[in-house]
Amino acid sequence: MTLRPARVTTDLPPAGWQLLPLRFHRLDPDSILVTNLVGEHAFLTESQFLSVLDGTCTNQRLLAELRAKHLIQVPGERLPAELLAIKLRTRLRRLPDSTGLHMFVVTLRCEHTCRYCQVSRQSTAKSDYDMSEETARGALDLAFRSPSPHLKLEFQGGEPLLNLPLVRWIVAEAKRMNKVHGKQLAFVIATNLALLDDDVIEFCGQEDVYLSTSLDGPADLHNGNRRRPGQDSWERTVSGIRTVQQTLGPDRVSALMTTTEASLDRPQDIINSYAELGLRHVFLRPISPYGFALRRRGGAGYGVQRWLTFYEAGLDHIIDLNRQGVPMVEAYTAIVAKKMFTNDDPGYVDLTSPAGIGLGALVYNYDGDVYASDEGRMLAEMNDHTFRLGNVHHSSYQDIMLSDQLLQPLQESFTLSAPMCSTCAFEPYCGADPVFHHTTMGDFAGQKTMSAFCQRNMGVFTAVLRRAREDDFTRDLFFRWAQQ
Amino acid sequence: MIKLSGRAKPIGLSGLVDPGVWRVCQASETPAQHPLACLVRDGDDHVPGYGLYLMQGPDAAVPGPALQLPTDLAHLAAGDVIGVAPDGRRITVLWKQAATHNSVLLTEQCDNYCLMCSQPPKNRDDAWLFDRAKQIVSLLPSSARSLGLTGGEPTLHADALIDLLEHCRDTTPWLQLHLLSNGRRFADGEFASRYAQVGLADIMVGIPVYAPEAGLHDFIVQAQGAFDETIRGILNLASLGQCVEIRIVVQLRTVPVLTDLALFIARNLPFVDQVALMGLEMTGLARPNSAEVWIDPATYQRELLEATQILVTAGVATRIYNHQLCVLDERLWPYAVRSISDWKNDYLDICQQCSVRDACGGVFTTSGNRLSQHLRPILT
Amino acid sequence: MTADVEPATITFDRATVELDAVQRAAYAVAATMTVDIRVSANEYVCTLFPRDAGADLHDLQHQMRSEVIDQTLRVRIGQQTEPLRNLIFALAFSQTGLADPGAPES
Repeated sequence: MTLRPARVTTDLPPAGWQLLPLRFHRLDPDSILVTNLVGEHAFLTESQFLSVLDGTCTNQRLLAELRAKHLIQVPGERLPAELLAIKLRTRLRRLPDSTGLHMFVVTLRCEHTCRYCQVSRQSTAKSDYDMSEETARGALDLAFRSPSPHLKLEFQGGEPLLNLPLVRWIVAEAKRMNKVHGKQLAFVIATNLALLDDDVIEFCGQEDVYLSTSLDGPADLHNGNRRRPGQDSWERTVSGIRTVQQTLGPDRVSALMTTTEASLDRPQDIINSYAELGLRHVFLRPISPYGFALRRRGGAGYGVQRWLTFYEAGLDHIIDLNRQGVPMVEAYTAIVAKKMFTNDDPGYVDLTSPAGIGLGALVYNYDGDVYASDEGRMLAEMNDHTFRLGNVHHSSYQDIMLSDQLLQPLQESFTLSAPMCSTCAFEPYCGADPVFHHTTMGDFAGQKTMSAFCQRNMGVFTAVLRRAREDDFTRDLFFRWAQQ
Repeated sequence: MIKLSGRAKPIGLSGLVDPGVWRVCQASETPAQHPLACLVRDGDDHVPGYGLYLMQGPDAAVPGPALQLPTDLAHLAAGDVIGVAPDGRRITVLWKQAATHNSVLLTEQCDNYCLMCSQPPKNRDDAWLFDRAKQIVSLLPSSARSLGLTGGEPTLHADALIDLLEHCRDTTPWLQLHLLSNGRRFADGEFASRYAQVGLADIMVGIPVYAPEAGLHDFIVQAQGAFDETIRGILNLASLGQCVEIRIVVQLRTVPVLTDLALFIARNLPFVDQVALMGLEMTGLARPNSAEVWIDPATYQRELLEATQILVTAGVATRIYNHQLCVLDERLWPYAVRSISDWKNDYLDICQQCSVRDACGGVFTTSGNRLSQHLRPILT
Repeated sequence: MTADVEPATITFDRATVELDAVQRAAYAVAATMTVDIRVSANEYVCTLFPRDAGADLHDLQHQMRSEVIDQTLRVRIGQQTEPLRNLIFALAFSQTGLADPGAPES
């Protein structure tokens, strides 16, 4: 049988391609990260990068990789633009679905005196620091105005279990109101678990309420941060976690750590303490700047480098645990991985652009004041009301969502138009944090070269990409985390 | 392996055999309007009234127009569908009731020219194949579950294909259809709509994609612009809610990009209903192009495992076809399907002792002796 | 109050470097130096004021020069790809794109 001579070749001639929208970042002296509009990435050496830009590249394998990842195309092609458009639309598809998270500060009362807490009031006797039903109703009215098909109602404080009757009332009322709206509702109580009892467990079991608690690490670390009469915060928390796991199920309680200076030297201890309790998710959080007066340059004073060392050590330890068959997940890495390796949006309010203030979350304080974020509420405790959007008793949904208080920071922090963010290769993975930048630098966008938010996130992205590139097990692990 | 065609000896034919397609039946079935060909075994009673008889033994007397079956076609059974040449001298098995897979060839024309094509294109008028296909569908037994529609490139005959699909919808609505196509015609939104509007309940289009970018894919299918049209075809089908399978033939040229292709599918086409990773059949154009396409499957297990894991993690249903279990990494066995059609599968002598022989599809007889160097029985 | 260190100066040829790139570079190096940009007939004259009193002036010059090169690349890439970027965004938000598979469910 005669063959047709091969009339189709694979090779691209010199200058036979054009760039698709891309951004670059120098990771190392000779390693350049290049990303496309939706965060697909490639690594190039300096000379490879320049040769791709000026049309002289003869490395056909590299050119094929760049074509497959929609970083270059052959002039006249339309398919890459169409696929990029679809992927972009997929990434942004949740934008119209504001606001998913609604936090109800049902009381400021608390029986702990945690070192870094700015909000709680020490008296546990009933007082003016409890949210009323009338306020709760106003908050629910606003929450149900959100277009989002999913509403997560999170109860906070102080210690929300000190006002359990109101929590019960809100859950019942929300379910009643939802008969008309038909949204998917989720309820979470953020509690220190010290006051957990059978009543609470029964309520959570019946009404499908989840529990979220604080666990800073091993007992000495945790109790060092969280003072309580009896100095038994850790014991009570752990006992509470075990009780919930056994009575309601292992997935009904999750834990978050608060990172302090003392935490930074002990990432493995912290992670191991989670593993011992059967807690699968660890969130290696940054140190919050909101407790400190941080008008120092960018808030970097609290040591981004030290934190990155802590984060990388923690992440490596979690990866090792996975190698040994212990399926721990680092939550922040999972969020970043989803943004890097899929077209999905993790919906995490603190790493998204437009920012998560208002659009992702709203906070209803005990007195009815509405804040654009939890940090915005904490700022108010320090007499900075920049992010107070209104009050449930006299502000309509439009008043709140169309206020300058909300729109201005959203606009100014938008990464696609902020200086340096707009040309940053990491932008598809990153987000806007106007509250952080306002607090530490005095404006909503911040000067990114001196921003701790920027440095920290660039460090995280670099750490994740490096590890995925150097080790297949880690890459596959991150891919699985990205799918959660 | 079974033979699908053989020479018959006409007995007592008074004219040409017509129609050309018959369903085989037992004498117990009453003759109906269908063209039913009655199987007569040695010693069977002769039941009159059938339009055609198929004699397995050297019977002297025949009850009507009859064909003496060759020994190669002794496997014919009730429910099978056969094609009979007008002079009665050739019988072709078009549908085998007992087979796991049945396919109907719709055309040998194609607008791609894949390096490893197992059905090399022929540029001649073969519209009669569509007519025959309609007859086959009309004669399928009610026990028929699924049917493959293959070519060449079936969508080159748009009207005939739509007509056939409508015929299937009206005649055999329960049938699960699998249409093999290079997908390029579906880039035409109008054609894609026509296809969707037929309204078949259960049809999947199997579309080959060999690389994550046009350069290598177009080279492998030897058609400039093929990748562009194929992917846009897939997108159109998906937007119309149609089932799509991506088929990847694992061969020398696709192995180096298998992981990248899996990543491309996970990122750009994650909505496809299935990805099939297929072992290479060394027949057709694959033989003269052997230097371009042949690779021992045992040597690419790392890439195959990696690609499968990427797709599975991304939530894409993945299957591995046409691989012998002994050359497959054991972690891939859950994804392996016993898929070689029984008319062209076989086992080697060494397979006799293999403990997983029954779960394994064996080898392509069509591949001749171009088989893996690493075939071996798995002893427990 | 101010650093006692003398500032360093570098110049860029206006024929080959765009002001946009120089300004972006000045922003990008702001953590280590502040940059004063003046325009002369055929040059941009940049005066580099180190934030750190002990800073090596040669390092600062290298840093600024490299940054201008990178920002020039960014401006160039942005210009080359702007039409495609606009097309992609338009397609993403159009109702009648060629293919619109809806939101792929994962």
